[in-house]
Amino acid sequence: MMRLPKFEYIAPATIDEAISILNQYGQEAGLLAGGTDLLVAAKLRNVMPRHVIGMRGIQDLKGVAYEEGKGMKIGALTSLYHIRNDPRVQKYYSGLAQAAASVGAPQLQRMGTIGGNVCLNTRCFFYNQSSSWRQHRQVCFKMGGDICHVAPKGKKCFALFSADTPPALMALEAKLKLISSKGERVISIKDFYTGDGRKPTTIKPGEILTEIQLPPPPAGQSSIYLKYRIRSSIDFPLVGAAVSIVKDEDSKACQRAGVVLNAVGSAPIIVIEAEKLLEGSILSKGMVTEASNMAYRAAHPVANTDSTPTYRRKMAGILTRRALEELSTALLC
Amino acid sequence: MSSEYSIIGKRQTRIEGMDKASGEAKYTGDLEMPRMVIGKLLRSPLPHARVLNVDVSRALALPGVKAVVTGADVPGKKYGSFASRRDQTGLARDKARYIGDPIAAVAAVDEDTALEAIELIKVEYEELPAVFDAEEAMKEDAPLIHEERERNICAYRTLNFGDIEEGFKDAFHIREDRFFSQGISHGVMEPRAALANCNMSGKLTVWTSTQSPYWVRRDLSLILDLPPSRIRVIKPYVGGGFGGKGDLLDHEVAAALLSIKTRLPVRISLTREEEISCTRLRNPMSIYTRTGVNRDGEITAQYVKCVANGGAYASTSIMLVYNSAQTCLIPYRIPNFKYDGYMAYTNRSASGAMRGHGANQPRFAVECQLDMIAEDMGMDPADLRLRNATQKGDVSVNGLVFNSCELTRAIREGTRATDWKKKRGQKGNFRGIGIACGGFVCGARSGGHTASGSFVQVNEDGGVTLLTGSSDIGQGSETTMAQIVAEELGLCPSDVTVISADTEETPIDPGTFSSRVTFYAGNATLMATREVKDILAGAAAKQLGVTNKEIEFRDHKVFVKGKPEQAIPFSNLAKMAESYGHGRLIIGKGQWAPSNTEFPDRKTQYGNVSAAYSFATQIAEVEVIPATGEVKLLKVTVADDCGQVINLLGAEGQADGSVSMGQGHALMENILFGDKGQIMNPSFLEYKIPTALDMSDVSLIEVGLPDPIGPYGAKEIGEGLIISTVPAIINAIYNAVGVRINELPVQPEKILTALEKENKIK
Repeated sequence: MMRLPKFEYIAPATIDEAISILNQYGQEAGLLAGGTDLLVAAKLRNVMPRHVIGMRGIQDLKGVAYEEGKGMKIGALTSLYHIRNDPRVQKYYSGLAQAAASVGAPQLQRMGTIGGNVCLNTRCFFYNQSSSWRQHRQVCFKMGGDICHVAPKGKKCFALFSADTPPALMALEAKLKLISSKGERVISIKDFYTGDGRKPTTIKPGEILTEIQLPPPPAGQSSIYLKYRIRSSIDFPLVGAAVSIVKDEDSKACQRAGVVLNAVGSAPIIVIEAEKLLEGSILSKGMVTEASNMAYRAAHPVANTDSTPTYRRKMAGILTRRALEELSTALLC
Repeated sequence: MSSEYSIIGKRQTRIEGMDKASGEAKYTGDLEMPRMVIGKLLRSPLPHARVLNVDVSRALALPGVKAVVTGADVPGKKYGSFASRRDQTGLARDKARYIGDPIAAVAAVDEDTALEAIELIKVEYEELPAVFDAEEAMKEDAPLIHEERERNICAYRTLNFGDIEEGFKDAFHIREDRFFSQGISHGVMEPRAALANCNMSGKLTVWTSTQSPYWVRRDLSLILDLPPSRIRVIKPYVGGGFGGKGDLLDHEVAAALLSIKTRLPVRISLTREEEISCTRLRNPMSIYTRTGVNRDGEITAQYVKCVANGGAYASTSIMLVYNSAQTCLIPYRIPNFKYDGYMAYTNRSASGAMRGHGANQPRFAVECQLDMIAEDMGMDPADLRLRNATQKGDVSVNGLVFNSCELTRAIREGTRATDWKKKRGQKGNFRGIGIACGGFVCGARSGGHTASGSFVQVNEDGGVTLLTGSSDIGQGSETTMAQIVAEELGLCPSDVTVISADTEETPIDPGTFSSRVTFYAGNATLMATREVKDILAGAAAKQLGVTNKEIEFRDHKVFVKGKPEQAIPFSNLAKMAESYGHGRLIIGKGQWAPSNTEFPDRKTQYGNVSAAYSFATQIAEVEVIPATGEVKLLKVTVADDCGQVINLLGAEGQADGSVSMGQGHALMENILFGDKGQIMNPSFLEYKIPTALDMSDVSLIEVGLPDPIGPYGAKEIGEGLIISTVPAIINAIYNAVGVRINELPVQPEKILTALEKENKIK
């Protein structure tokens, strides 16, 4: 078994306490929610936090609240297993329930949290390896160096964003609440990701993600998350597609569409072109094909995980088409 | 047949099942000893390099470090599975031959200190040109990996029986195809570990996760320059081997060296990364096959050429290149057969034995090619196989003698159970059904002694102790042996305590490989048990006033046949038999090796290498999603001839395990070699072993009849099944969507690309 590096474990009981510890240790601190990302990375020596702040004891960060007309608030420490099984998530935000259910395996979902999943680090064949595996290679961008082993002539890090719930949350217009000693801010999850493989999120030093907010589901909203992977469980996505549709009750036309691809870049990719195409129209077969072609064109995977970029790009189109087909069936009835 | 038995042929749960299910069972990595220290290996970051200097001074100076050893501390001769291919030294003496080759080892008070010390060792390397592809490695100008092996050819075998030219002349139809089978990891649940303890008088004891304590002792004796009698090897519970844990490995050598140096117990446990990238793999192999058939579909000639990538060390290479040939001659009658098999050294992690050992790759090729031939000829592939199937009483061109064989029945019952004809003809639903056959040895004759031995002792309360040399590595052989003892003495398997696989306490046994355990150790156990049965029957006969032959053992009682009402409880009998005369022990011994096998002729490779052969047919049903190329394995029907089944639950477990392992081989698993031969996916996250959700339904049909030599007529089942899983799946995919993929694994992309190429989807 691989060994964890030595660290000090601190277990704050409140958010304020956690923030003050985080400020005290700065870059040397690591936030531990479910541990399914951080502890693995620590064993591989991808990260070496000197102080680990265990969030588990902070009760305020757990649970799902739903209020009609106001929407849903999900505490960042709520487990993915809880979310997949919450009847309100299943009813109003089914794409999110499906995304949570597709993460790893039930055991990992019980440990893993929604906050951890939103903040999941990017991944790469050349990065998620032990220090001894990496030792004979030059230090890559992701580890703080200045080379990319996937694209040796590349000028940036291509590490892959592969958390399942964020694309579903994006398609559902979710917002994130972040708290620091300077106060709190609420931002659209669409503004949370940088697209930089090295530092995938815009979270600031000293900030903690505390809550995920979902707007009240508009009448006629349906959503879906589809995931391609080699095995039926445990795997990260090789491609994911989250789609949401709001249909107008009277005209049956699509009022609003969300089309977000996953695991084909360093951040979830919003296929704006496809969203615009769908909005205001009645979904036809031709339109579904056109939108899925747009998804295909929007995906730019590189060879940093299993399967080839060519196939994953094709799958981005295919999954988008499947998702739209399934939702348009729902739309027509 | 089986109705006359009370234990044999029934579903028997494991005698050690509760220990394992509760977590109480101790594997090597769980073992603790007073004063025990922890060892770690320093491995080469380069695929091929001369080791110029190893500076261990800083590591030795680290508080908590007890010792450091390097290649210079390795005293003995090179070792290896076969005497003619001994090429390993445990720690590199001169060169590192792949990324991961061990250079030095450290023992320290704890794992963290050992890891820290490893990083303090400074190694000077001179990087050498390296070669990673087997066919490239055999070219004249390729860098030599072991200087004594020209063109890096680690092993070469050729077989030539009948008249291959004439055979092809007689053919009505001939096909020639190339196939490739990828590198596969055994995926054992328990990563290897070893605990070595050298005591003050110099006796070395090694507990290790192995398939063969005997081989470990032999090779440790060579490399440590110690007489075998100074070494004791004990196999604790083992969490799976699948062929890979046969060889002595570096960490076992290192633990022994460190313990000899420190006189402390030293334990080394490999990480999953080390387990996947620094132990053994199933050989990546290119297979070229040329098969000719007459108008009736009977094979007239077959040429098979295999080129295996052996990686940095020979391991069981000689056996592999032989197995690839001889297993081609088990399932079908082939009058004219030629084979060339090569295994090349490369600067990759070493390959070795794995479930099926060399049979799987050519079996995949030949079974796929037979389907292509059937299609070319307009024949049903099952009929083509029936025309060629080996029959009881046959002797193959290379001298294999088939005393029992129910392959024809397996094909017939398998196709009947799956509604083959009907499903085969259905088109347009993207579902397909495919067939393949195979057969395997029950312990191939190899050099040295191959016998197994057992001691049985009946204790005063009627409990029984069995000492057997055989190694249970998770397959359930201890339960099988307990069943044999229990059947003979009319007891339950749980009445039998099995002590096994300890070079000092149990009879010598070559180990668990070549599907030999039930056949060899089973027969030895049967002999030993019958010896004590004779003693007990004598005592009972005297008491009951009859002859020994009239005594029956059943349900913990002994009685005169047909008169169970006048029974002596077994526990009373044991006491009674012990106290005859001046008193005696109720003990028996058995040792067994077949008398009808021979070592294949060194020149021609002719000879009956195994006392019996198993046979099987598998029928796979799949559904393909044409838009993505994804394959769902719906069901696999296994029609198996393993002779008389001993443990039906065990047989079903072997069928399930073979199908899931074969499914991984066919569709998912793939050791990805990056630049410099580095393994890119050394974790269970990135190396795709099927999960429970991916697993198909498996249905096992036993069609065998008792073999004349096997214990109760039993034959092997552990390896023979998996070799036909892969081609059955590939053939089913072709039946579903009309694309044939000759390179494994068949991941969705290959199917989609082929479908697009053939314009079979819009």
